[in-house]
Amino acid sequence: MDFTFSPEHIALRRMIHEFCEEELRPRARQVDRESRQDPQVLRWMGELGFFGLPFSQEDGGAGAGETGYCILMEELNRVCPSTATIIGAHTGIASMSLYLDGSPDLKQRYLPDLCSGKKIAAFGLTEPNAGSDAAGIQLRATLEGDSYYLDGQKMWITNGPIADVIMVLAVTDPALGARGGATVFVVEKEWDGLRPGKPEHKMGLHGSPTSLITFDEVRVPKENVLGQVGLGFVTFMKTLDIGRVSLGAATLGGAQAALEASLRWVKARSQFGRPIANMQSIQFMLADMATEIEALRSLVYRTAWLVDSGKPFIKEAGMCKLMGSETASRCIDRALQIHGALGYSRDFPLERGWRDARIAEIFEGTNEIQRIVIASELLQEIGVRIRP
Amino acid sequence: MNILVFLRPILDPAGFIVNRKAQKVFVNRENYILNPTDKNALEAALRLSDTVTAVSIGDAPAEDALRQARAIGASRAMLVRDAALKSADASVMTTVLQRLVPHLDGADLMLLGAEVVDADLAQLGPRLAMALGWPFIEGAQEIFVRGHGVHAITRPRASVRRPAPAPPFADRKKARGPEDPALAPRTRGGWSAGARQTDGFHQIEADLPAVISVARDSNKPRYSPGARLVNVYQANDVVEILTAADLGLSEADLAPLTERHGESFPPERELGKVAEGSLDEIAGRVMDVIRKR
Amino acid sequence: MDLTDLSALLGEDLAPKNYADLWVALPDVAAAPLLGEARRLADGLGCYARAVVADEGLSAQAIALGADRVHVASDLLSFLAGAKPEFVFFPIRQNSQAAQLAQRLRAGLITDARGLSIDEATRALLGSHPVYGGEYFLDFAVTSPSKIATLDPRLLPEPYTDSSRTGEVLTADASSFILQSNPSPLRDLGPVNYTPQAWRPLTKARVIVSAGRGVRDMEGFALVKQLADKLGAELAGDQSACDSGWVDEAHLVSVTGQEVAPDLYLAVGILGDTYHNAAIVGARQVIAIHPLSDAPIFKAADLAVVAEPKELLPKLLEQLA
Repeated sequence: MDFTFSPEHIALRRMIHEFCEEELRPRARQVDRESRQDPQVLRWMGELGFFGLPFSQEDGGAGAGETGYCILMEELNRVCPSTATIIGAHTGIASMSLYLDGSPDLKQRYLPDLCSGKKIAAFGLTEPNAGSDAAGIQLRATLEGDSYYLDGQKMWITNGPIADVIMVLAVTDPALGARGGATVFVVEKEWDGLRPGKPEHKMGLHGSPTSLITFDEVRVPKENVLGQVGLGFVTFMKTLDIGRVSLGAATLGGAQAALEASLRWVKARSQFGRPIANMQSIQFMLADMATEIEALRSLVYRTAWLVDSGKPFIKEAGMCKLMGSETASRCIDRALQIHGALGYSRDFPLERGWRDARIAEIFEGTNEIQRIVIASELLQEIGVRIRP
Repeated sequence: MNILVFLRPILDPAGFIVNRKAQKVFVNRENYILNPTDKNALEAALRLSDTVTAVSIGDAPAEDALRQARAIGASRAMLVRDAALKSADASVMTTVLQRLVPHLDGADLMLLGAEVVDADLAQLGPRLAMALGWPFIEGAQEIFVRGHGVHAITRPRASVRRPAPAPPFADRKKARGPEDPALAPRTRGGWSAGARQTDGFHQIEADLPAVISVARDSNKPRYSPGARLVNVYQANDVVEILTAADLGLSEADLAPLTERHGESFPPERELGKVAEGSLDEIAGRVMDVIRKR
Repeated sequence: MDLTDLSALLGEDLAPKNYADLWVALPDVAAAPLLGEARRLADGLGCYARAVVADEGLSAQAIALGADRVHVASDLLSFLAGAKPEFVFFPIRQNSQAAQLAQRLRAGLITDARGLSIDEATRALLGSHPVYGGEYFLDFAVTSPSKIATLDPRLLPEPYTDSSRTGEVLTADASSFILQSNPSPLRDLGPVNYTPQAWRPLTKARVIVSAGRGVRDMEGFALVKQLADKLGAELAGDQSACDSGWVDEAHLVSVTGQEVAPDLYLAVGILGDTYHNAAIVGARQVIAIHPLSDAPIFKAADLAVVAEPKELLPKLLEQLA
């Protein structure tokens, strides 16, 4: 069993790590305070292929696979979670749904621009009345001639205010409900009737714009149906499954950052006449953090390997997201405690990490949903089918 | 134009700790990175031309450094790898590179980093220039090509002949400097008699082909685009490998003139040493340390 | 063409016994300490210490500093190539010339050589070269017939001047120069207005002068700024300096600001709390100046100076003029 990363993944990590340290880290505080990332930086990341990293080169991506993408998300989230989230939503779920189930023609029309970052994508699933109960979506798509008319609202859409393209799940057959009668549409922001709302004021991830999007009889041509009519729910669930792996990688980066910061601080800070690294309470905290992170690391990259090898991964993906989000929250919280009052200061990056990390237990499928997914997979293996 | 860049890997300083007390270097993570100033040299080359050949001497770390260069944008990479080069010093490397240059179609310019973090190799550039019979410019901040010449912005260090100032009533034609070549042979590194050192930057011109060392941090090195990086690292044949025999190097060529005799370490850092004496004496102590930085 | 062809042409013999004496390139008076070093080593070996100058005006000084013979030569490299020197020392700002001579003479070269000595038995030149910015040193022995080193005059002791010393001054005969078919020379087209781009100046700075509350007021801060200018250093400050508006956040040295790793960090009037001190752990050398003898900064400083910055800085500036 060889646990080493392949040469291209090692080289990729090195390049991304450097980029993050040189370009993202110095700007991270400003991104949080001004609630925006410098468009020049986003353009740069586009040129380097970050926006399409996992997708095949034929489709305009970098061909780095799920493993390469996990490396990207880990390194980005270690330094600037806001920026990581922009890419996470754009690449990990929005563009991913197109990559997984889009027709060659549809892919050819949109993927190249999405991969280069020329166009930003958003994933439109959640609605004011439909969060964990994704099947409760109500946005309607009515067929009239050659076009569908979309009417309703999507809420808490990451990249909503800046998206050029939105993958929207709408109910096409109310009789069958979302599970059997929903379709994914690729909607362009200039189309009449599409109105992104004001950016939400959130606890963290300030640089990642999120908003409500209102669809007021938006006309969407038939050609922009993604996948098959009526099977949209399956497409989106499939996409969310794979998105969980890289989200787990992102949380790994956040936890890693907390550990690194703590190691530097316990050496520098002296109380009672010696560096606090010498105190057992601190040592135990560090050991616990490092152990959890190591376990998470193995889980994430093994799951990425399952994806890249074409093996089943749904259960493990849920575990990545579940364990990752909770580990990151715990580690960052512990790091805050280790840093004392400094950790609480807004001039020090830790409190930003703390605020940024919390959402991971909620979005892209709450941890409760993850537990249901994992239990469902487990029980299926012994012949028990549970209905969420 | 065809530009060569010589680059080297160095042991990543983030992966080792020097223990002055134990007089040892403790390597936690044996990681190699590109010598930082070589990245500036590669960037300078890529800004000037699309045809850039990266060159290195060594083993696996050097091969990886060359792959990195290919991923960043170099169109070709050549590695000279041979067990006989294990203890190569600057003079041996110069000979190797001197033999390599003719293998590369029409190289116009050779760039390398002005500083090498982990070896006594800043001398490589001027040595190679002397061996090839090319002019050498040291520490360029920016490089431009104009016709058959190359211009560099650099801080000259008495290595450049300045046109002699015109004497007030003499014939302008004669004011270009001594006429008899035997009295003032033209050289690359001669004195500029009476030239004063300025702190400012100067624009230096040289004929091509030339060797130029690129100053540290003189530009912002580009990153390797994801797709290119993946392709370079998945391919097998991105670095061409030559042996000493391929270059016709004899045992005499490979004999170093300098031998490594191990490492030595600075004294342990004594923190909190108080400067004693009168204010003037203290000022003297501080100036001492400042001057020797 | 390389040296073997040339020597075959001129019928030269490359045998070691043909190489003699210790030569020092003396482009200006700043390189004087090299002569002291040469004198020390020459005495040990029992050979001549020779200086090579371009300006005849330096010859008297060179002799007083320890040279037995002074050669005035307009073309250093060609002259030395023909002189068959056993040892040659250059100041480090002439690293390139030293390397070019080394190539011509088939000589080994140690640049920025520290702790020079000569092995009496083998006559090898022994010295160390700093790596990783001086973290440690590589020890070398140069074993070629001719051995060259470049030295940093600032690190050598001031040489002893004895104006009663006598020595010969020889003007090099141009016909003795070994000419090499040369490429065209470099041409200096004159000064240019050029400002090197500074990405994140504080993190890449090699020398930083940093101010804190101990400089007392704007007047004191102005002195710190002057010092930074004179040294070509980056100006920075701690949290109090930032709060007083003297430096902006980009020049704040603190865990909440920038972490720095310069070769030299001058903390002027900085008390030195954990948040500041943790940000300078990467500095190679720290000089701290503060009026309070128990200032915590001193625990992190190589040189602790208990003094009033407004009194000490003018003295430093004087010496830098």
